[in-house]
Parts: sequence; C-alpha cells; structure tokens
Amino acid sequence: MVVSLEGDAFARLYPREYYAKFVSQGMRPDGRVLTQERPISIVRDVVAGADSSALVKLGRATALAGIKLEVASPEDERPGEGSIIVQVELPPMCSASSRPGLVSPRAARLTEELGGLAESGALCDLAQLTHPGGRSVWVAYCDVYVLDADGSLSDVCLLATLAALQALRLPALEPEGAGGAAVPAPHDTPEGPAAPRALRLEPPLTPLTCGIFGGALVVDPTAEEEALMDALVCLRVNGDGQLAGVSKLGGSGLGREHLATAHMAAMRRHLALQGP
Amino acid sequence: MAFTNSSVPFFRHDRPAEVIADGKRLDGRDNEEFRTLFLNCGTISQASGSSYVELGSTKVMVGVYGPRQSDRWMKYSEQGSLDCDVRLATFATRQRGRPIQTQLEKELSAQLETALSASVLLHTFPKAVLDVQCLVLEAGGSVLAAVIAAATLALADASIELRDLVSAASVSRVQGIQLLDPTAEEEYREEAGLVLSFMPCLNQITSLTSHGVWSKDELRDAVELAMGACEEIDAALRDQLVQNASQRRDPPVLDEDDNENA
Repeated sequence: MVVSLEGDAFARLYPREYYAKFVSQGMRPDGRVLTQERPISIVRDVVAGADSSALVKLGRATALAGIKLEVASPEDERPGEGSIIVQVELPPMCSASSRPGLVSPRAARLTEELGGLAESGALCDLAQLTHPGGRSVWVAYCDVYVLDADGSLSDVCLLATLAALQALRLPALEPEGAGGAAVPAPHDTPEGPAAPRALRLEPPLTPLTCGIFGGALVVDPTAEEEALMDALVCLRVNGDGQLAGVSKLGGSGLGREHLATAHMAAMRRHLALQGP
Repeated sequence: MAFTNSSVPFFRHDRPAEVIADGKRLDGRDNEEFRTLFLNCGTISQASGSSYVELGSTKVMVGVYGPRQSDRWMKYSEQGSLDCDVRLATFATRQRGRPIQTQLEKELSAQLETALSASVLLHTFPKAVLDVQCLVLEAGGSVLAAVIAAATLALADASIELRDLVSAASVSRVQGIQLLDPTAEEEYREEAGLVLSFMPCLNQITSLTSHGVWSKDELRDAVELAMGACEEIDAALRDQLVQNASQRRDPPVLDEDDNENA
C-alpha cells in the first residue's frame, strides 16, 4: 500500500520524470509499448433521430458523429454538387479544460481540418448529393461531438465522420413535373418503397496521431500523455497506404526515422481497419 | 470554400397524427409504464463524476467537474453553487438544432439547477462552484427527467455529499389520458404536461413544473403517478451506484474493452 501511494505521489508531482522512467524501458504507464495503439471500436446508427450516426472509441477517447440531411438550392459556382459540412464540437462535458460559452481553439482547428477534407471531395464525390432534376441538392450536416477527450482527437473525429458517412442512406427522390423541384418518391408504388441509396465513398483515409517524447516516438497518446509530449504529429494514409496528409505544428524536431515508424504504424492501423 | 446557401430541413417521416390508437400507446406500453432505463457511471475519463442514461430513445451524458474556485466576478458566498449547463446535440431533435445556445437549453439548464440544488449540501464547499455539464445525444421525450436522473447519478459518482438522490418523471395528458414518461411524439400531441423531481427517501419534492390546464383531481393523480415512477427510478439509481462501487473495490482482472478487441 505504502509503495503504491509513493508511486502515485511521484506521478502527480513529477509527471515528466515518472513518464520518462517508463519510456526508458520501452513501456507506458497504461501497459502499452511505445508503438502500440489503443483498441478501436466503431458502432453505427446509434442515434435514431439522425439520418446516420456513428460512435467511435479509441481506448477511452470517444466521438459521436451524427448527420442530418437538409435540402438547398445549389450554389451558382458549383451547380452540380451538394455539400458535406463537418463541425466538431468539444462540449464542456468532455474535458476539464473546456468551459461553456467559448468555442475552444482546438474545436475550431479540428473543424477546419475535417471541414476542409469534406469540402474538397476527399471523402466522397459531392456530385452524388444532387437531386434528380438538378434544381436542388442535399446538404449533409455532420456534427461530431467529442464525448470523452482522451487524446488523439483528430483521429477519433475523422473515424467517426467516415463511419457516419458510410452509414448514410440518401432517401429516393424523383423529379416533379412542372416546377422541377425534387420530391420524395412515393412510398406506395407497386414495387414497394424506392430503396434509399448509399454514398460511394473514396477509399477511406486512416489517421494516426503520434507524440515525440525525449527523442522517442509514442503512438496514439492519451490526453495525459499528450500534455507531456514535446511535439505531436498527425498522419493520414490513403487507400494505397501512401501518406495523404501530415501535420506537425511546432514543438521539437521530427527525425526521418520517426516519420517512417509513424507511417508504418498508420499502415498497420489501416490494414487492421480495412482488413478482411 | 464553405457552402453558403441556406437549407431547409428534410423529414423522412411525418409525425403520427394519433399517438393513442384503440386505447393503446404507439409503442405498446401501458399508460403508467416507463420505458427501459439504462444507467452507467464513470463514462468520462477526466470528470470528477460522470454518467450515461438512456430512457427509451432519450440518451443523456453528464460530466461533473470540480468543485473549483468560483469566478472572480461572483460575489463571496459561504455556500457553494451549482453551475448547470444542458446542451442538445444538433442531431438530437427532429429538426436540426443550432450549435449556439437556444432558449430551450437555457430553460433546461435553469430547471436542472432548481431540481438539484435542494439535494446538494452546498455549505460543504464554500466559495466554490461545481460544474454539471450535460449533453443530450437524442431527445426522444422526457428529456428533463432523463437529464435530472443522469445529473444526480454523476454527482453521486463524484462523491458529492447529497441529502438524497433526486429522481424525476414526466407525465403528459393526451386525449384526457395520463401517460407516464411520454415519447417525443406524445409530448408533441399533449394537452397538458408536468415534470416532477422528487427525493423519495426524504419524501420531498424539489421541483414541479406543469403546463396546460389541470383540474385539481387530475393534477393530484398525475403527481402521484410521477412520484411512484420516481421511486422506481431511485431504486435503479441506487443499484447502479452499488454495482459501480463494488466494481471499483474489486476491479475485474482483465479490462473488458481489451478483451473485445484482442
């Protein structure tokens, strides 16, 4: 008992030294080795009121993405395209540092990152979101709520967005005669209700966040670990396992061998997620 | 370049015109029966206390943080205070909500504070504030009741000293029939409704709000119906807390999550 209390006190008073002792042995306080990620679980259609939704857990880090479809007239500059608008929310509930009434810079950055991907068509071809007749388009509002901010938020938010998009079914519409505006297809046709249609998504991106601690690469850090890291680097690999995006903002330098290790770890996650 | 055109909601299904068909509720429940209640606590890693509550399709998550030092602009107080914040996820409601705080969210926050503050021993943390942060993931009816149950569970999980657990239940009157724990559709068609929060062990009501016209007898029946439901919810809350405490004392040898994904 006395020993564990001393350990706890040491961890609280000298978190960096405590963590360094683990890293020097190639281990982490939660029992993982440095290049080991946390288990991922993905559950789709958890919120019945949304058009589609997905709950993704990465260890304890949790995000819930929900999509609501709305109808709009197409933009003049992009007449043949609908839109996917991603918004990441860090509600005050999810961590000790977020308080009500303020949009945290972290939420704004995540929104920027994911919103950019969705608008550029990197997740799916936006031409699929047009209605028959072309007078109106779908706008898919994908709101991602972080329920437990336990590190690697960029990964868990992207995975939740992708899973919600995979689960999305667009209702069948047919063009109305005169006005040209699309209307819901009738439910009582002789062939039964027209089938809703799934989106054809681009090969999914796989994200991975790594931290650098005293020259060592730490894969998939928790919130506690993120606070200790010298620098964080987020990678995305595409369907072919190539790097499709790297962001590393500030902090200590990233060695070439670290980038290679991180890329390998991201490939491993990619294969595990897309595996048979 | 963001999409700038304004959009209008799209509904896959119309609301049902009748919520009572042949004297039966649409989901087949008895009039005085509440929906399946699922409780869990310790769901948020950084919170002092946290909980997740499902009441049928209504899903609520609560995190309690603190007590922390109260803000500078607040006057000195010998009593601690509760700062309750209730938010609805944009996809929680039939029509997509707004990310900014709405009137409904302000009202829910105020009602939660009223319902809870009578149960918390505020004098045990003078000059300090306890943050009770709630997020409604799906609003399938009786939202306030679910939020209150979830918040009281999270407070207990955070080891905050309470006089008693607060349970809450709502009753809607549709076509003259009183329905316990109404769904969103039943609330939409209601003539009158009430939400009661109650401390069953002390036999004290902490808050009661009603809307619509009630006769004296009807109101008494509805309050008794809600009080009965609160007692059942209270028993479920206590079971969950005992279960959680015993898990904490004898943690399972292997983490469940690790097993699933191994």
